[in-house]
Amino acid sequence: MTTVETDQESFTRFVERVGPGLTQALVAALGGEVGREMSAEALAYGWEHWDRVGTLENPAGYLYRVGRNRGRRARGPLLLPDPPPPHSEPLVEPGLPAALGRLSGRQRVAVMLVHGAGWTVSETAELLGISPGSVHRHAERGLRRLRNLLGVTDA
Amino acid sequence: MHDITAQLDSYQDHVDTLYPPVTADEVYHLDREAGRVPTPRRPSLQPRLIAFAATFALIVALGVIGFLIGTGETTDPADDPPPTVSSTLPAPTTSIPPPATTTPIPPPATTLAEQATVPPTTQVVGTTGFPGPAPRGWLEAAIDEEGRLVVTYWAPSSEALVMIRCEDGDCGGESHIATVAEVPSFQHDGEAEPGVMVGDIALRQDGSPIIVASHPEPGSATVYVCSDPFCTNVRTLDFGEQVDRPQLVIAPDGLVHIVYYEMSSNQLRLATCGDPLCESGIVSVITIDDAPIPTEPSIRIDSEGQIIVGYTVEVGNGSTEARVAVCRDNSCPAEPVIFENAATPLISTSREGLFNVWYRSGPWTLGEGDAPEESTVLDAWNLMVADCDSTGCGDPRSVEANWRLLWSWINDAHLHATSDATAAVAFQYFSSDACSEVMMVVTLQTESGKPSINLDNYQPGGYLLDSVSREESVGLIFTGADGRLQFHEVSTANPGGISPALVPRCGSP
Repeated sequence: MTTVETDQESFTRFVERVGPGLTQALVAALGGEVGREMSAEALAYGWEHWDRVGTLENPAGYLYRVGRNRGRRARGPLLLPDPPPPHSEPLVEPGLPAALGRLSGRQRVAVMLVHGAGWTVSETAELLGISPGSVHRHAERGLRRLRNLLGVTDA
Repeated sequence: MHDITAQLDSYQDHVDTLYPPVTADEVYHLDREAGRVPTPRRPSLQPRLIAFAATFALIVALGVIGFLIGTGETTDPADDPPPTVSSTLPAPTTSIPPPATTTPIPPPATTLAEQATVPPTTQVVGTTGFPGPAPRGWLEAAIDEEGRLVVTYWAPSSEALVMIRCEDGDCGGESHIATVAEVPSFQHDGEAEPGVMVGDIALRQDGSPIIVASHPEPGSATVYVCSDPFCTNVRTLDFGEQVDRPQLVIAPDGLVHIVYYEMSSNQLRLATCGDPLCESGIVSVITIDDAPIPTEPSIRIDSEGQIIVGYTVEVGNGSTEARVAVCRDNSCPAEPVIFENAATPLISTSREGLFNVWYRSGPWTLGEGDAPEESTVLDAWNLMVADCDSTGCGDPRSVEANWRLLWSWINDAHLHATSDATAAVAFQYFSSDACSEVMMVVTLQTESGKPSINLDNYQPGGYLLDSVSREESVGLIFTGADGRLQFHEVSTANPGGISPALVPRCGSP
């Protein structure tokens, strides 16, 4: 019983720490509904196999791939949320979600995590299981492409 | 319309509201709904062994089936768990230097310097380009001792690393195209990534190229040693499996030095070949820095054989430092020179024993009224240069300031210093003018010598700015055979190769 409580406490702390990022990353990768659903499924998988997952060097990265792979099996169009209402500040281009949808998966995740959610390159790299240099390049190219697609000049 | 990063920030807040983080209670609820019993979490050894054996057998069986049907996939939920790190490089021979304790060079005052004193110009240099295959992404060039241009890049049409040797510095005459190695693209998530992500080229005294290239995941790297200037025969050396951003230089004694970021250890390292042709492989690897994410390295070697490495590290809160290490005798300093709130240091060697460090400082956030666009909060950054020797660097000075950038990134930077200490740098950045992406050339006369740049609008002691409006292009800058500075734009979007011209600035006729 003590072991169960310890595991549950440990897993709860883990979810508190990585849950927000995992959800953000999977929503960016798979879209709103599917992404959040896969985030829940991945964490449920993590809880079910916590004795093994909890000992991994990068359990969040592992669960990200669990969620991403399960989401990819549920084929369907990428559905990113509509932009916030026009009265929001700062104003978001109505075409932003569609433009994000035209990025590659990694570019979209890198751009949304680094530039949208404020993650560091290293945090993003750890979750995605790729090098910081790759995150750097994906974010860089994704942002450049977004600017071109939206005709934003940052002026 | 607000900057794209501000929009992304706002949009992400909106997404977070619509799709809040999954909570642990939610997971436990799902667990109960699925009828899974959350206990025991740590079963006894025997059931675990049985489960492991069954799982292993299942994975092997499904893996074989998957292989037979051509997918190669297993049913492991993660499909591709993090690979075990195994580098082919020898272990570092020196200990990791302790954290730098030198007094950091503070960022410059945030007051804005004057705008460019020389207006943007359009200069056409060189002639027509060569008919090489279109490059994609990374591209590097070198000039041989007779002023001939040698370019290497990855060509998607042939899925190969190619080398183009021009007969002159303009690439206006005949050119020789060689396939250095077939490097297939990397398929990921149904998309083809370039087979070479980043690399570098250096020429031996006889003009034979040595190329180092890093490949997409898992990040392997290869050294290609050409037998002759035309790469008739190429010998390859597997350099490592967790390598990013490799850059190389050939020392006066002919030895090849490669600086790179090792992803598995998160260290910036310097590797040295045992002989000029690297036939004995990498014989020395030393750690330069283990600060968080040392990246964007540049490497130069001075006349005394000192290896000078510039690189960028993250220091938290989104800030970065530019650092410079002067290495010699198989040792790098424990205390690199630090430029605070700076990034992307590029090294140019000027006079004997002296070198310059060019870097980007900032960004500074400008308050309302500082920027011409009233009520707009913008960022700006400065291009700085510092005069250095092996004992340290003097106070940096601003080359150009008030580049109002909400998000800036020096990309594909190429730095060149002419023989009379005039330096030039070409790079891409995101501007606040009519172009969303431009390419910038800055030339500057350093403290000695006269510029050899024969550009009509160049003024000694000043600088010349010019920009290229084309997307998907890379800038190269070098001194041609006639001693004149040349800037080439290389299109990565359309076939046709090099376009050796500065084209009009955005918005001009």
